[in-house]
Amino acid sequence: MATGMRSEIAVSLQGLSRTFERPDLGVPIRGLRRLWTRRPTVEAVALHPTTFHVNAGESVAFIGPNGAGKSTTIKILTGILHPTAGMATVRGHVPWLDRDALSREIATVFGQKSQLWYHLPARDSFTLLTRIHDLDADLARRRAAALCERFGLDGLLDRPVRTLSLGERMRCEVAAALLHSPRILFLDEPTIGLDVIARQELRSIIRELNQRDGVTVFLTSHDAGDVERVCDRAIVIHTGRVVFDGSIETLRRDFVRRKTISLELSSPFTGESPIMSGVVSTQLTPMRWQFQVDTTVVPAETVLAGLIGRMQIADLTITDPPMEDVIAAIYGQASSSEVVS
Amino acid sequence: MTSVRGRGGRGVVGIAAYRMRVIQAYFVVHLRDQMAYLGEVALGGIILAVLLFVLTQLWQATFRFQGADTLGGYTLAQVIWYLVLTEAFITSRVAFARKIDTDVRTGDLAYALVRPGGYVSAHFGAYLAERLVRFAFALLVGGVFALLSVGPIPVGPVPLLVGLAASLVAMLLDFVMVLGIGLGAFWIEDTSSIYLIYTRVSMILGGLLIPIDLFPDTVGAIARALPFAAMIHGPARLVLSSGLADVSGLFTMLGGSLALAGGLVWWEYGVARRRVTAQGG
Repeated sequence: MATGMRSEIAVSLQGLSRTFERPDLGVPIRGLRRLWTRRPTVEAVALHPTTFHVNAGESVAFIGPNGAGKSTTIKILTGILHPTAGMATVRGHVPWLDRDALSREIATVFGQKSQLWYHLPARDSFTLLTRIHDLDADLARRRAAALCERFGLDGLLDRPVRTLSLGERMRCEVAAALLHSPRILFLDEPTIGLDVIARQELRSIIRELNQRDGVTVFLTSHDAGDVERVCDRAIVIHTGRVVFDGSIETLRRDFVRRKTISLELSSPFTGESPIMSGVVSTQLTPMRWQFQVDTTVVPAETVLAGLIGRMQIADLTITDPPMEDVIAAIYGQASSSEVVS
Repeated sequence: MTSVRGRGGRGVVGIAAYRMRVIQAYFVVHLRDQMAYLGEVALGGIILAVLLFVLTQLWQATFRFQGADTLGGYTLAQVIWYLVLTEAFITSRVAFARKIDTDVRTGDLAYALVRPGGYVSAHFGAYLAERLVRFAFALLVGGVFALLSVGPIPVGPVPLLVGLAASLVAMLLDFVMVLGIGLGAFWIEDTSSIYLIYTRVSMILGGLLIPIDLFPDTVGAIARALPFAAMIHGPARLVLSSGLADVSGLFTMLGGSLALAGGLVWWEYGVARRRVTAQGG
């Protein structure tokens, strides 16, 4: 495949898969035979053949439980790992063949892996990154100044990284990753360990990069807030297979087939609690009721029609399940090869 | 957004120049990092001074016991200055094999590999900075100690410069060997034992405490056939000699060892990169 071409597709996977061989610990080898006997190996599938595309400028959450294959996929897409089969391109580059060229176009931010030097001021790391990305010094200096202003790093860059709070350090990490103007930002758990304020700040920075600058964002996170506030699209992976690929709204609406109907009544309901199959009702106050509807059993419209006839309703809201519940359901779900959307 | 993208490849020379700039950048950053640990470096200097004091006492007793002015062609003052040079080489060693070992074990290596500039270049720049600071400091402490205990000895500027150049080549060889040991973590459980053997063998057969010229003939022949003597004894002997008689043999041994070790580690690195596996999820 030709490399280096520009395309509207930022990331493309075609039947990409990865398997590993690991020692079969179930086969006992005892005594001195261990010295010369090679333990048989078994094949472990980290990623089943996977196909999806991410367009330039999209903001995609790549989510799944631990061991689902997220890390393997990101490592292949950033050129760290070779796949066992299939093809992938990132900005037209085959990552494992064209790593140097790719590194000029992408940036990676890992919440648990710092790329700043712990004992040095972040400014020194910026200087080093200027060199290793082989950037023009003047342009890089102006770029660093712009990033500092944008991320509120004034006064932080000259302090040793070890003295920064985690939130301050992560802002520096993202700024450092953006120094070479990457077109794709791979983020792996960027908000892990951050407090609420720092998390919100970082999310808004990433969102702004995507919306204002058109940087393609590919994010993995276990944090529902990251997924909701940063991304428009979700790809869910489970046991090495894509089980959902669609918008965040669709994910919320369809993955957990449950809706919540909340009612404010104009007069107290004195009758018996409405009983319907697939509906759990809760009286919060005499004037407020809540109904959890399993839409695989009964449509929300049917439940609502039944309630309107029995209750004096002043106001009502119908909500999809919170993203936390959606992600919890995904993680708790048995493996499935079916793509939901 | 203003583009400040890299200036791209410019052929073999351009790539080599780029690698040198990367090594220089890592060198500068780690040099500053070393400044944050000057206290640790100073502590190493105190330990070196104590060590030299003990060794000086032993050598003084040996010379007294032998009742000779020279042993194997070395005066007492020359032996003490020899010790200063060899100890400076050994105590300035950087045990970065442990770092590579940890990188491999924790999966951090995979993250380091994705950075442009190269994993080896990054380690080499850091190694040089740390090593040269320690080497210079050890020479300073050792030099002051030797001056106070046995006084100055005549040293020609050319042997001094050539000896220091040989030490630099020896450090490069040491870097390659330690890199090879660290990358061994892809195949063996723990490389610290291999590193321990490497350091101990090189100290004994490299002539750290006793010049190779004083070894029994058979052991001396074995030591000279290995690269350790060229790394430790060779440069020190050169500095103390009045001419450059052994210089070609020394650089041939260092260069040959470097080529051989470099080739092996290059191959090992290539195999190791293909063995990088995913960790975490």
